[in-house]
This record gives sequence, structure tokens and C-alpha cells, in this order.
Amino acid sequence: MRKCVYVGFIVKNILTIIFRKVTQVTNLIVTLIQGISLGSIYALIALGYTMVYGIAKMLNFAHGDIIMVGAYLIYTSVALAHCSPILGILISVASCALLGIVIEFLAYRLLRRASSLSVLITAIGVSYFLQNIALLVFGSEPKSIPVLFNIPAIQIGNSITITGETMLTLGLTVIIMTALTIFINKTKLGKAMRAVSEDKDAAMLMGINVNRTISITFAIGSIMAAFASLCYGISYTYIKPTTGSMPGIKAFTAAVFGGIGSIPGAMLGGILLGVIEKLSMAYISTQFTDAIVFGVLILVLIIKPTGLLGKQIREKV
Amino acid sequence: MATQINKPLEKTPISKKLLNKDTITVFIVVAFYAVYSTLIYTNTAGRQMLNMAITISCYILMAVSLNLVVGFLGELSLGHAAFMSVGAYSGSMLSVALLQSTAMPLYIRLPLAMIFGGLVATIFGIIIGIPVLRLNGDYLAIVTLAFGEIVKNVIINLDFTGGAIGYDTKAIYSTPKALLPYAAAAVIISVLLIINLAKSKHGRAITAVRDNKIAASATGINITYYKLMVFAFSAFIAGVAGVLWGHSLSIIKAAKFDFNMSIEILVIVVLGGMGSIRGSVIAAILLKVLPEALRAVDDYRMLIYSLLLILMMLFNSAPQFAKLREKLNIKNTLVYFKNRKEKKGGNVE
Amino acid sequence: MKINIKKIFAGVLALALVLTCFTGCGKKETWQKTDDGKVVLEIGFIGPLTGEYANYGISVRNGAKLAVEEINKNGGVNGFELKLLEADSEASGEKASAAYGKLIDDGMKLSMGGVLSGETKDIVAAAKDDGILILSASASALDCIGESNAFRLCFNDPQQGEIAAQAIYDKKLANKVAILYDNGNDYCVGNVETFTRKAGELGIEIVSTQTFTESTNTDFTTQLTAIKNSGAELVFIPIYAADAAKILRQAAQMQLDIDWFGADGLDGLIKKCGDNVADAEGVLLLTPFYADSEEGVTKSFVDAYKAKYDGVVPDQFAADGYDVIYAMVEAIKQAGVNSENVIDMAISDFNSKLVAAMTKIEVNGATGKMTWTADGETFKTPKILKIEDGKTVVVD
Repeated sequence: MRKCVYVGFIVKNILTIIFRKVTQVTNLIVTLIQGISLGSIYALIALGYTMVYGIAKMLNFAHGDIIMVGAYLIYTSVALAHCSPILGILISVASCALLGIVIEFLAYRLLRRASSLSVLITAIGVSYFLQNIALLVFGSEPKSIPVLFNIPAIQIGNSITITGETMLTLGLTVIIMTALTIFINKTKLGKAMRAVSEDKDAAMLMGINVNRTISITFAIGSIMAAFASLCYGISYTYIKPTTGSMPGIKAFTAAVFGGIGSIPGAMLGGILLGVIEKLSMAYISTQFTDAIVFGVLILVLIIKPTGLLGKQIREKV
Repeated sequence: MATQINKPLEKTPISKKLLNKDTITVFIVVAFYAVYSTLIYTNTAGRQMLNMAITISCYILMAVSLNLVVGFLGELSLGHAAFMSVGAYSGSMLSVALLQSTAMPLYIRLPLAMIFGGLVATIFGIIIGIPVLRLNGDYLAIVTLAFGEIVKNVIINLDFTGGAIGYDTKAIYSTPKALLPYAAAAVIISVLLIINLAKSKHGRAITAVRDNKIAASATGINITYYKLMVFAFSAFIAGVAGVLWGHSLSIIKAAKFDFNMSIEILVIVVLGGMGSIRGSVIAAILLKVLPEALRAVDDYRMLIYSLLLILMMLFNSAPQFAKLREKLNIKNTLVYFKNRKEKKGGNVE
Repeated sequence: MKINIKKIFAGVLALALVLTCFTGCGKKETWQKTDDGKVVLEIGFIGPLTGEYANYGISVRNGAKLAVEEINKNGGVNGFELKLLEADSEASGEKASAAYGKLIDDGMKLSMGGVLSGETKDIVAAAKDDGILILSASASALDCIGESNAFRLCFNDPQQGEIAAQAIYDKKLANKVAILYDNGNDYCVGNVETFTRKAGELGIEIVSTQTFTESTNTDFTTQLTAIKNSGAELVFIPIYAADAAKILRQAAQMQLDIDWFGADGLDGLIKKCGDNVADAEGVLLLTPFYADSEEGVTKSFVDAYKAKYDGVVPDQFAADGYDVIYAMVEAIKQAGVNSENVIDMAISDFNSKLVAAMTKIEVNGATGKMTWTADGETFKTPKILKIEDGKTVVVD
């Protein structure tokens, strides 16, 4: 009898330990999924930063605000004009692409030979402009993006729940990134883009229309932003005129983290940033998350000054 | 990226003329404060103008100090507000402590606090200066941005800084009238120091580092030393500005010194002209006064501001507008007429 | 190239300085008279009218504007005609201080302080020597008033945290509580501090404290997962409605079934949730004002507000702004100042009479019955509300 109790006690203890370990592991998995989901939104935005940087050698600070515009367009078309979600997304993607081209044409094209700091300040001006237009049109009250697709959450075991929104974000990011990689590497236009980013003058001599290529790069970057706004809207629902700025800064960080100008770098940087952010929230401190994320960034840059996948540039004398 | 500067700082480093660029700059600053204080102490100025005095002074200090880094050293910094934040907290804490323990009067307490706040900011300036030795361009910019966010995040989560609620500076709050002489002194001294630095052999070394690092180091300039020195000096002035700021408000919040503030200061520096101290001073005054004057069109104020910013940058730097700029350039017009007088009928080009 | 820009700069600068100077130079008579013999009484409103916090500023301003119109339509008060002066603070202290200066230049006699706590603190400091009566609608941080001439109409943050803990205890809502708040926001932090203390005294166990900041307020999944794993029965969320809407949405996505309890910052949550109002179902909140009330003053205010502003339902900020004006009117009546005896009075004397009257008045406003203590605080009995079927109902 006594033996029975003893064995029962041991079994109970072992079970508790296993249960704890399992909870820890599942918690880790849940956190990782959340991190990758957040990170893929950063990555989508970072792609826009990095492509524009690669080709025009400029920091397009207004890029974050294109997400905001994209999100408001989805809101306007679906919630106010009652379009179907697919049509709303198409409108948003097309308008963002157009907006990217227009901004490049009106504001940045004139400054192509100017110092990059002037371009940076102009981009900041564009960013303020977009934010204030949105503020005048929609006001500072947050607006909610209606549920576009109804995907039920998946339950794995007891404690892992993957929301439909997360799956959609992950799926969309994988598709978009694959499409972008194929586009850059296999198509003629993609080759032209790589050529222009390598050497503008040589590309021009090879008969590439540099202006058009840069316009297209801006359009593609803005399309990425539109998809990012779609993921953002699906996952986080509420949008404000300043919605784009914080993800914009984080994505900019992610782009530099991965090595600015490098497309795989932006993808890696974005996802890593999201994962680090979520891990530090879950396991270290929610209070100091910002400090930890940016601290890791500084460390990486000090150890590898051109980012994770950035090209080493030799200084010419 | 920030190494491309349109124009070298000075063609002739030491000008013997009495009315040279630097004396004009100092004159403008002194005249500004003379007029401002006359208006204020004779009660001719309105309360709005009075209440803006310290804000304007702080922004002038921030702009000239950032100009040291961006204009003279040629490194882009996106976290300058963090130095101000550190200075504001440390200086205000010292000031509160001094007031409570010894009831020290403002005229000793404030200068002491300014020096202390400046020194603490200098330490941070040196810390942030270290990555500078390995990084440049956008990578450095992002490190300064990250540094600013870290400082903000840490201050918000510490207890002795008052956390998110902010540090209560009500005890050391002083009216703009009381603070204006110190603000004026801080600005004038800073401007004099920077001008002197720029004219000195060190100043030429710094611009040499900016224009060509490798050539500079080949001529025996210690790049590490100069880069750290500029960051430290710039942080010191920003720290002083922070202390002044802390005394002019009754609460300081770390959240105020964020990325947007750093960007605001950078905009001032670029609009005023990189490397131009006078430009920074004037742009700082203008960008602080204009929004106040535009209060009547409140809703559209920021929109107008952003449009002006874009147009100014286009006009200022687009090659397409070069002709227009030449046309509107007073100096060029004068030279044109002078040349015409000298060589009558000759080719004036 | 740079020279001409600087010349233009200098020119505009000189012009701007002259302009700002002019506003001060045109010193007017202290008390202005209208055509029909009334004396104009300028009340200054300062708050964020543009930028991220604009919705709060606009609400307070609209509420105050409505009250001013109502009073003037009924013939003013003691021969005064009220006039609301407004200035944008952009939610920053130094702008608010400059705005205060501008309103003084424009002839402000009474001040509504600021809308946010930080800016109000700076206004109180700037107003120290003027002795102007400040009655802030919504500055709730504990030490943001604290001068003899400064009062507030809302209750302060620590009071709220305490009341919330007491309410959870009294109504036996939960024994295990989690807290989720913005640790970069003074309102939230002020609430949480006293809540934690009071909960400790009452024996409520706080099993998890989760935070976020302005830069991490998009994704709350980690915090929600932690709360889920902590076994909490109720989450205390002393945050603003905009963040709460996001949190509730993500909790719904995660199928997290838990009770929520918030402070008065949650007011307007139903509107913020928009189409996702089902997320807010069952949320409890503590507020002195709610728009679905059937009580006399509140109902008439809500109806008048809706009629004036195209059917927009007023939030607590609007009600606070409305009550501030009526409280000021009450103080004028109590102090016995009128358009005759005020003419030779200095602004500071006028205000010291009103300040003295503030502690004697009782106002029955849209946010309930209020009296004031000499240190500027008011006490109102907050109601516990519950969101049911997209409407707020009182819980007894």
C-alpha cells in the first residue's frame, strides 16, 4: 500500500516536470510564431526600404507612411464604399504603386544628383505631408478595418493556438517574397533593376532606361508596403494617421540590420527583428523590449558594420 | 552618405577682415538677444513671445550642436535629442538637490547644473562616439537612432527618473524672464566656442576628416580623437540645452525627446545650411516662431510646414533650379555688377 | 547659393518677430463691452487640436463650446457674455506654455488649463504669477495641479486605481488579477501604482503584470499569452480606449476568454471598436459619465451635443469640457461678480474672488454632482458600467 503511494508520488512528480517542460516548449513555439508573424510584416516593409536604397541610394523615410495610406485605402473601399475585400486590396495595391511613382517623380527625381541628406529631409517632408493629409481627411480617431477573410484559428494540442490572421500573414509573406525573388532574378526588368543599382551610368550605356527602372522600383516597393498594410490591417485592425511611422522605423532598422540594399538581408532582418522583439518580451522584460531590440542591433552593427548580409564596401582613396 | 557636402566650409580659414562671416554671425546672435530682451524687460512684448524665449534658445543650442556633427564632421545623427534628455534629467536632478539641501540661488545653481548636465551628456556622447569609429553613413545613423530609443526606454523604466510620469521639476521652475539672461549667455558662448573651434587648427582637421578620411589620416590627423571630440563637444552643448529646458518647464518627460525631436533638429540644420552656424541659428528661430505665427491656420499648419519643407529642399538642392538660384542670388548679382564696372564691354562671364 | 536663402530667411524672420511683437503691443482695455452692454468674459481653452491626441482636445473643446453657446443664448451670466478662446497645444508642454501666453495676450480671464496632464502642469507653472483660475477638464495626474488657483473636474489617477481595486473586491469579481498597461503613459502608471497597493491591502492576488509602450502598441499577443498562462480571472486595463480596442481584438482572435476591467480611459470604447463591438462585450469600466444615461442633466447634454455635432455621441472628455464651463458660471454667481462691479477690477482680483468661491459651490453636471476641496480636487461617485449588446449599462 505504502509502495503504491510512493510510486504514485513519483509518477505525479515526473508528470508535473514533463508538463512544465511541455508548457515551456509550447510557450516558446507560440512566441516564435508570433515573432515570425510580426517579423514578416517588418520584412515586407523593409523590402521597400532596401530596394529603393539599393537603386536610388536614398532613405525613403516616407515609405512607412505608404503603409498607412494603403491601410486607409482598404478601409475606405471596403468599409465605406462596400467593395468586396479582393477589390479593396486591388485598389489599395494599385493606388500605392501609383503613389510611389508620383512621389518619386515629384519629389525625389529632381534631387537625384543632390546630397543624400537633402533627399532624406525631403522624404521626411513627404512623410509629414502624407500623415497630415490623412489627419485632415480621416481625423485622429482610429478607424477599424473590417474583417476581410474569415479564417478559423488552428488549435494544436492544448496550448498552441495559431490565429487565422497569423496564418494569412505568413502565407502571404511567403508568396510575395518568392514572387519578388523570382522577379528580381529571372525577369528582364529585374535584371535591369540590378544593373541600375550596381552602376547607374553603365546601365544607361547598356540601353537601360534608368528613370523608368527607378519608377518601377518605387512602384514595387510601394506594392510591398500595400501588402504590409494588408497584413497589418488583418492582424491589428485599427489604423491611425501615425500608424505607419513606428513600423516604418522598425523596418528601417530591420533593413539596416540585414544589410541595407540586400533583398535577402531585408527578409532576414525583418523576421529576426520580430522574433527578437517577441522573445525579449516573453522571456526578459516587456518594459525594456525597445532597449533590448535596439541594443542587439547596435551590437550586431559594431561586430559586423555592414549588417548581416550587407556587402563589404572598400573605401577608395 | 553624409559625407557628400556641397560646399567646403571656408575657402580662407582665417579672414583678416573685420566684417567677416563670423563676426556677422556673432552680431546676429547678440542683436537677436538684445532686441528680444529689450522687448521683454520693457514689457512691450506679448506673453506668447515671452513664453517662447527659452524654447527658441534651446533649439538654437540643439541646432548649432548638431551642426557640429552633421555639418562639420559629416556624420548623420538621428538621436541628438537623447543627449538633451540626459542633460535635462541629470542637470535638473542636481539643481533640485542643491536647492533642497542648500537653497542655493539660481545664479550659482543654474550654471553649475548646466555644466553638470553637459558633462553627463558628454559621457554619453563619448559612448555613442565609439561605434562611430567603426561605422559610417546610414549604419551610423541607425545606431544613433537606436541609441536615442534606448535612452528613452531606459529613462521611462527607471524609478529615480520618475518613470513615465516624468521628473517633477516644479521646485526649480523659473520664469522665462529669469532664465533669459542664462539662455542668452549659453547661446552666445556656444556660438563663440564653435566658431573658434571651426577657425582653429582642430577645426580644419575636422573638416579634413569629413572631406576625405583617408587623406586626412595620411597627413597625420588622429581621426579617432577628432571624431570623439566632436561627438563629446556636441553632446555637451545639447546637455546644456537640456538643463535649460528642464528649468523652464515644470515636468520633464523622456518621451518628449524622441526620434521626432531629433528629426526636427536635423531639419533645422539642413534648412539652415550644413556647416553654417548662422544658418542654424536663423533657421532655429524661424522654425520655432513660424508655427506660433501660423496659429490662425491651425488645421493646415503642419500641412503647410511639410509642403514648405519639400519645396525648400527642392529649391535648395535640385540641379534643375540652379539657374533660378543664381538669378536670385544677391551676392552673385553684386559680383556681376562689380565685374561689369571693372571690365567695361568685356566678357562678364 | 546659400546666401540668398539666408537673406530670405532673415527677412521673413524679421517680419515674423514684428508680427508676434504686435500681438503684444496692441494692449486692449481689460474688460471689453459688447454692443448690447454686456461684458465679454474670455475663457481660454488649451489642448491638442491637431496630431495624435487631437480627439481628446476636440472633444473637450466641443463640450465647452456647447456650454458657452447655451449660456449665452440664455442671456449670459451676471451681465457677462462668455467667449471661448482656443489654442492648440499639440500635446506638448512648451507649446502649451506658448499657447497660454497667446491667450493672455488675447485677453483671457479664466483658463480651462490643458486637456492632458503634462501640458496642464506647464500651464499651471506659467500661470503662477497671474493668479488666474484654472479648472482643467481632464488633467488627472496627481501632481499636475497643486497651486492654490488650480482645480480639476475629473478625478485623479490614484483615486481611480484605488476605487477600481475596491470595486473588484466588493463585487467579488476576481481573486487573481492580471494588469496590462502602457508603462510609457502617466495616466496608466498613476492608476496602476495605487491599484497594486490597494489590491495588496485587500488580498487580491496580482498574478501577472504586462506592459507595452507607444512603440510596441501594435502586437499584444505575447502579453496576452502570458496573461492566459498566469491563470488570471480578470485583467485590469487602466488604458485608453484606442489601445484597449486593439487588445480586445487580438484577445478575440486568440479566443482568450477572460474578464476585463478598465478605468475612465475606456470611455468611448464602443465607438472605437466600430464593427468589432462584440469584442467589448462584458467589459467593465469605471466612469462618472456615460452617454446612455437617463439622468436629467446628462441626457439633456447628450441630446444637445448630438444635435449640434451631427449626431456624434459625446465621450467623457466632452462632458468634462461642458461641466467646466458650468462650474465656472456657478463660481461667478457664488463670487457675486457682475458686469458692473468688475469694470475696475484687476484680472487677478477677479480671479481670487472666483478661486475663493470654487470651494463653496456645488455643481450638478453631466458627469454628476461635484464639490471642490481647497487643493483643487473633486470627488464624484463613479459608476461601474458594463458593456452589453453594444450599449453601456450600470452594474449595481
